[in-house]
Amino acid sequence: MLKFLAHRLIHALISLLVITVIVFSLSHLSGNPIDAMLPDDATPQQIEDLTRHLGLDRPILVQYLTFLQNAAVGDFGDSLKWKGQTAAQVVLERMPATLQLGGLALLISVVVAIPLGVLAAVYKNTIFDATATVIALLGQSLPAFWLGIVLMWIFAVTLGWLPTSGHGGLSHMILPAISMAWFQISALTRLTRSAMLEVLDAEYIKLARVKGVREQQVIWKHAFRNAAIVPITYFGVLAGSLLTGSVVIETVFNWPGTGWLAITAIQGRDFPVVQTVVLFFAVLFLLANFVVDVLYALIDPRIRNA
Amino acid sequence: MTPTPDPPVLNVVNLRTELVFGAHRVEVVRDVSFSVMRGETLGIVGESGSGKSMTALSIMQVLPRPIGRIHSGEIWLDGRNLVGLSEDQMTTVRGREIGMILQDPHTSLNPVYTVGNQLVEALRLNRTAESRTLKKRAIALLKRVNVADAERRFHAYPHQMSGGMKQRVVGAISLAGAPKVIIADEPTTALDVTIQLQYLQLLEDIQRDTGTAIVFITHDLGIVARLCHRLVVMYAGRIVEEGTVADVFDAPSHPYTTALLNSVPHVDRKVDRLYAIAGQPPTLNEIGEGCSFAPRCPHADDLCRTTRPPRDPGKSGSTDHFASCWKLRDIA
Ligand SMILES: Nc1ncnc2c1ncn2[C@@H]1O[C@H](COP(=O)(O)OP(=O)(O)O)[C@@H](O)[C@H]1O
Ligand code: SF4
Ligand SMILES: [Mg+2]
Repeated sequence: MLKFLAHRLIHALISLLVITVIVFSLSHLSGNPIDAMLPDDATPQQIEDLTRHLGLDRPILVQYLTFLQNAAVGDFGDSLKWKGQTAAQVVLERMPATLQLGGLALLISVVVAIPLGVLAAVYKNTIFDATATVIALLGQSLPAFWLGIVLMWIFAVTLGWLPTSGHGGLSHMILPAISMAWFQISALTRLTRSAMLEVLDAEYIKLARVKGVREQQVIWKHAFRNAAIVPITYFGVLAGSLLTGSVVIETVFNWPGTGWLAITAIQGRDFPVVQTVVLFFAVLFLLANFVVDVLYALIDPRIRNA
Repeated sequence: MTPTPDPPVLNVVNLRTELVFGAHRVEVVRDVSFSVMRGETLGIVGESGSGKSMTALSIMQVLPRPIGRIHSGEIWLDGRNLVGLSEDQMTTVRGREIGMILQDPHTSLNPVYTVGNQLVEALRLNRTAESRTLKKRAIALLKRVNVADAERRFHAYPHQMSGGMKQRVVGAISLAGAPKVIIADEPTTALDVTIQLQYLQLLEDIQRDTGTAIVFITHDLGIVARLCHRLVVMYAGRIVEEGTVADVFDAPSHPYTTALLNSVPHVDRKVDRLYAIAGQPPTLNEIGEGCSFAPRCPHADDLCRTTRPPRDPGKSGSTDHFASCWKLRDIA
């Protein structure tokens, strides 16, 4: 088990390193930050001073290593837009809002999709299964931002039950969380359903039945524990798409999280903050996938003992 | 142990089972009747696809969902008809009154639970056992089926064991409820020859100790000769011949049985598969009114093709030997 996890951890670290290279390269491709930092009428002398100060005149490899060294201690420079704050501070401040929203969306997805998928498999080819399939299709064909706007219009603007936007308690989170979860519910339902269908055909399910196990136990103890590998795998993808989804949904609902921050920082050409957001997202994504690996190992002894 | 005379512990009467595919129905078990006595081993023999497993799954009422269902018939277990029992009632029959061993040991244990967990589960489901003695009893069962190093194996996962070992565990699970009948559906087909023999020996020992009736499904006549007291031969969902092993082997009365026997070079020695009959078993929706074996039968005539043969006494002359063939008396 430890060997397996160590292996996965090394994988994650290598991925992280690759991501730093990409982030670093992108920041050099996407225009000169000097332009954004100095007024339009800056003198050549000012430009040269700042270039030297930022180390942009040094060889690219040196610049990368410096970047890496600073990144390792969480130093991504000062924010250009939010004066007086470091980029890391700006991002960390908004992180809890994003995690709250993403966490709620994740919770909604799992709580709805897993039972729905399992039951759709158990009641294959019935009205119930057909309904679940329609829900799944709807989910996949509605873009999240569109759903967000529609929900906002119905429940906030027209009915006035929930606030339209902004940060606050649970009531502020419901609409954006549902908008984010919607697509995930449909994907996760379909995955769970097909994984369960496959497992329910297995011989060990037949053996469980012939030894007198009750159907409830057959489904949850014997079948779901095996089928769970598939939704768990998807959890890694899910975490990633909730993070990227947050960029859209937080903007639609004016939710002051890192997704919203990313857009605002890009518009303001605040490169240090953009870089930091991207790296934070990458770390969260890798972390989620590491959690997936741990869950794998917990659930499947064949992986644990490999 | 010699079979005790009547009444049978399991008595299947005119069982018909069908698979429903929308508006289309396929009858996979067609009017099958047989009985098994306490302490007796009944063989069910036939090529792949002849309906042996469907017969077994019908008795357990775990037919493929949602397409499989018993159309009609009776399944008497110790004087109680299982057909028509509720799912709850059947849950208490499975494991406790009828145990089952499946074909492929590599897939019939749940990969994510230890052997001990799966065995204890079976013991817990099957009445009496107090929870603090469960582990002890599980280990005793593992020892009973000759799993070496049972205390350690209790904690092992299926993937850490060999096929033969896993099949012993499945055997132990089937014994957990001390059932009156054990249905073994080709339990040795996936095993090596030496392991196979050990396994058959184990079943014999268990039967001698417990007096349980065994329904042994196989396509291997060598095993039937060695293990069974009586056999039924199935073809295309029907029983075409039945009798004691001695009668059927000495005086096979249905051309299909004869063909099966001819395809086994040395019945008294070890085992060959039955492949040497020309042609294929019919797909079940092709079957017409007449004898199902007619397309492959060298003796078939118009009568065979149009009218189903009756169940007649077999050539041995014994009162419990029957075959369904028009030419029973004509073929030497
Ligand atoms: N799950 C299933 N779906 C459709 N047809 C099936 C299924 N299982 C069995 N059958 C059909 O039922 C018939 C009997 O099969 P089975 O009882 O498994 O035969 P045997 O055990 O003698 O090899 C075969 O024609 C087979 O094709
Ligand atoms: S009834 Fe006719 S076709 Fe059928 S087995 Fe006998 S001889 Fe052959
Ligand atoms: Mg079979």
